[in-house]
Parts: sequence; structure tokens; C-alpha cells
Amino acid sequence: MMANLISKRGRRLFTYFKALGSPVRFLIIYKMLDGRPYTKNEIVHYVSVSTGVPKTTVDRHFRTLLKYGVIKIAGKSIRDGEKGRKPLLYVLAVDSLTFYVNLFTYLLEGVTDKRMKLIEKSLSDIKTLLNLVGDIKIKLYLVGREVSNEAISNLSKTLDSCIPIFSLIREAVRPRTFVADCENALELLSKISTNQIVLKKISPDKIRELLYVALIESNIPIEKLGFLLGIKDISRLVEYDDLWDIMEVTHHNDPTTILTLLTDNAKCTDAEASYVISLANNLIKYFSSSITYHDLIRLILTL
Amino acid sequence: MRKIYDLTAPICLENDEVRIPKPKSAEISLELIGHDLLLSGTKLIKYLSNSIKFEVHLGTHIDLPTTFAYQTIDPFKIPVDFFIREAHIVHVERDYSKKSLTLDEVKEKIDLKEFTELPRERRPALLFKTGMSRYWCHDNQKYMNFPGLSKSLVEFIAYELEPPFIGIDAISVDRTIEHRSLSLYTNIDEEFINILRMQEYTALLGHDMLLRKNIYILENLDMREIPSDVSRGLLIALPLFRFTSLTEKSVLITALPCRVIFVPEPEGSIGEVVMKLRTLEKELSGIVA
Repeated sequence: MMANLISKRGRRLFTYFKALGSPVRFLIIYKMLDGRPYTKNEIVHYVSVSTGVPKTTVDRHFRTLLKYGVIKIAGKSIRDGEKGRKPLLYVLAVDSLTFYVNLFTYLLEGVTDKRMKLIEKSLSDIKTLLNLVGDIKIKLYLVGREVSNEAISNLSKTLDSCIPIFSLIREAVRPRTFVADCENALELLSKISTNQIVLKKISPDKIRELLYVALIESNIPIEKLGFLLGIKDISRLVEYDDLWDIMEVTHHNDPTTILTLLTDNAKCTDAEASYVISLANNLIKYFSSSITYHDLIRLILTL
Repeated sequence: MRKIYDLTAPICLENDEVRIPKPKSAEISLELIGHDLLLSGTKLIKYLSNSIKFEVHLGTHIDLPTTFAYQTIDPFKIPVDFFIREAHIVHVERDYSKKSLTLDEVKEKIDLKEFTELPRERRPALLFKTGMSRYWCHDNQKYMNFPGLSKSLVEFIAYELEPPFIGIDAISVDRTIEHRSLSLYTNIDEEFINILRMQEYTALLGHDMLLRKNIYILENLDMREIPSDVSRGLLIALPLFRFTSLTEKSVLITALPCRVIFVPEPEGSIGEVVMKLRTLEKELSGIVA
């Protein structure tokens, strides 16, 4: 999992966290995160029993961690009343909080450079990150001053670069800001009308429904909407179904044509402004509730 | 380095008697007990111990929805990190001899987004520093006469902020009228629970609204030492006891006596990182919401 997230900037950290590329190695570190020294036998036994992986395999992973400098020798154990060699004790090379901070920085750097892959994998990764944010925050409250200035500085820079990206993703998934004026609404409708990825999300039935909702919300006359949608013979329009029938007959009922006609014809008078703002906001609401993460990746690629 | 504050109200002793603000019927005592411990046959060892008896709603404690039988969730199954979370302190010190704490006094001091942009389980706790702590054990009558939170403020907390729990350095979020139990029941049957559930909580409206919304209430905090410039930090409100049932009958605890610690927000570069983490937390929460 981690290998996919490697960034150019994170080469150094990647070498370090390559150690986490295997669940066995991850479990070894998990056991040692309490900062206590352990003998190799204690760790190997714990992981082997937890996973069912043979002790020799766990031992090999243990040596890999030692090679990468993730763990280090802390000294010899004290063996009371027994003869023979005293087993070596091992600890994490850095304290657990620094390890957490480094891991977090590494993950976020991965997000910055390879965000699509992260999102693509699943929502659970975002949830994992979220939990990690909570953990780091509490640890910084409690023992933050024990983290090196370099680690704090790195984390700060990484946060600066990744927060805007997550903000963008969040805005696309659940917009906080809706369109408030006619110009912005027309700009949004225009952008949507030229984005095939977005347009594919709107079926003719859905655009029919959205046009109708905006009609009710803005309370404009049906003739006015007919004019906006380029219908010449507005005398035939009595109710909304009439309008849609004409659109179907003239093959102007696809979302691309409808949005292009609207943006070309609307002049932002009071009534027209009310309609396009309502339509734009209803489209935002629809996207925010219907867009999948797969769509989102493609959307971000087009930004 | 910023100071760490103990927000647990002390149990005050006057000679051997416990003297804390409490309803007349509530019991609290601390006894010194001598033991003769039998060791290896006939050898006796003397040692001292203590016996504590008190109602769980006395001292610093969290009121749970089980107080009014709204739900029977086992609080000991709540993950411990629920009790360790960021908290906002709203400074509303004034004379509370008459008027209850109102929404107008509080609203401008609370940033609604700090709560609404996070899922409920991640929201900070909300603490009110009324200044009533200064009467704790020094003037029990004044302490007991806290007029409570106004209805509009309680509604604002319950329906807009929805924090996991709130805290206050006062006896209750409701006006304490007399606080004298006429009868004490030890055998709680279904009929008692049913009557309890059907009663009108006009006098305990704050408790009613908050607990129905599953917002726990941390009462009797001692916030005397919190300076006026400290308004955000980490709250650690750990229950003193853990109970678990060895049978099918679940544990029914109505309040959790707590030891409450408050760690102010870090300063300098660490504080800045904490703020950035908070921003990131909101963005990530918005994605997974």
C-alpha cells in the first residue's frame, strides 16, 4: 500500500517507511510503539502468534527493520539466575511520537502527490487519516515539546501543501458555498456545459427534474423559461410538460444543449437571475449527493 | 510551558465530616478504617484504609442519559478517547444570584463552525466558566442557588452545537429549587421507570433536553485557576471507576464521578501545527461525512 504513495519529495521518508510495506513489519512496529525495549524473541513470538506467520519469517522481517534503521539495539537484557548469553533489547529508533509524526508527514506527502490514488482506494483511507489527525493532535497537546523542531517544521509544511487539496476535494464532495449571484451561476452552468465528465452524470430525466424545481423555486412564468431555452413559439406553452414535449421533439433535451442555451440567452434580469441561481444551486446539491469517488478523481484531473 | 489544570472539585472535609454543596438527602462520607490482616497462620498485620460512600451525582461528575432512563447504554463500553477531547471554554463570570445564563451572553463567544463542521463524535466539549467555583465549599448556599442556563441557551446547545458533552463550574445546568428527595427507592421496578419516563421535566428542562440528545453534562467543575485568556485546550475527563457485568443484567450507572484535567492549547510552532491539524480534520470530516 505504502509503495504506491511514494512521492519524489518523500524519497527519504519512503526508505524509512518501506518498513511498513508488510503487515508483519507493521505489527512489529505496532508492538514497539509503546517505547519499551523488547527482546527479539518477545516480538517474534507476539507477531507469530497474532498472524500465524512462522517465526523464521517474522525474524527475517525483524532484521529488515533493523537494516533500514527503524529499530535499533538498546542494550542487553538482564537475565536473573540463568546462564548463557543475555539477549539483546530493541527499541524504535525514534520515540513513538516522532515516529507517528514522521509517518503522518509521509502519508500526507503521498496524498499531496498521489492524491487520486489515495482517494481511489477507498473512503477508509480518509478515515484512517482522520483518526491519525486526532491522535497526533492529542499527542502534541500532551508531549508536543518532545518532538524535534525539524519534525514539527516538516509536518507544518506538509499540512500547508495538503490542506488546500483536501479543501478542494471536500468542496467538490460537499460544497459549503452555494452560488449567490447571476454571473457566478452562469459561469458555473457554462463550465458544466463544457465538462463531459460532469454532463454524463446528468440524465435527461434528471435535468428535466432540475429545470422544473428551479421553475418552482424562482416562480418565473413558463414563457420566460421557454425563451431562455430558445423556444420560439411560446404561445404553445401552458405548463411545464408542454415545454419538455417541445424540447424532446426538437432534440434539445440533452443537458449540454439545455445549459448552453440557458447561458447564451440569460441576461440576468431579476427573474432570469433568480432562475439560473436556483438551477445552479440545485445542480450543486445534486452533484454533492450523487458524485462517487471515482467521478471525483476524474473531476480533479480536469481541474 | 503552559500549566496543566485540575478541574476536579475537591471533596472538602471539616474534621471527619464531608462538607460539599449537595442536596439534603444525598450521602457522602469518608471513614478511616483500621484492619487486622491475617497473614500466614496466626500473624496479624495492622494497616489503615478508607471507606468512601457517596452518591455518584455529587462532586465532579458526568450526568448520563440513564438518569432519566432515556437509554440504558453501558458507559463503560464507551471508548476511553470519548473522554479525551478538545474543549472550548466560554468565560461568562458574573453575579448569578438572580438571572440565569442566557444565549445572548454566550452566542458571540462561540464559533458555530467549530462545532458544525465536524461530525458529532469529533466535536469539542463546551465548558462554561461562570465563576461559581469560588463558592464551592466556602458558601454552599450560594453555590446551590445557581440559576441555571436559560431555555434558549440549552436549545442552542442541544440543537445547533450538539457537542458530545458540556461542562460547567456550577451545581447544575438547571436552577436548583429545593433539591430534597421526599422518598428514596432502592428497589427500582418497571413501574418506577415507566412513571419516570412519562413525567414532565419542567424543573429540569436543561437536563431533559441535553440528555435526550445524548449530550452528557459535566457538573461541579472547579475552574477557579483557569485564566481569562485560556479558552481552548485538551480536556481529559476520565471516570473514576469501571464496572462490568458478569451476568446478562447490564450495568445501570446514572453518573460518572470524574477526575478532570485540562491542558491548554500549545503555543508557538506546535500550537500552529495543532491549528492546522484542526483545519485538516474539518476538511477530512467534510469528505467522509
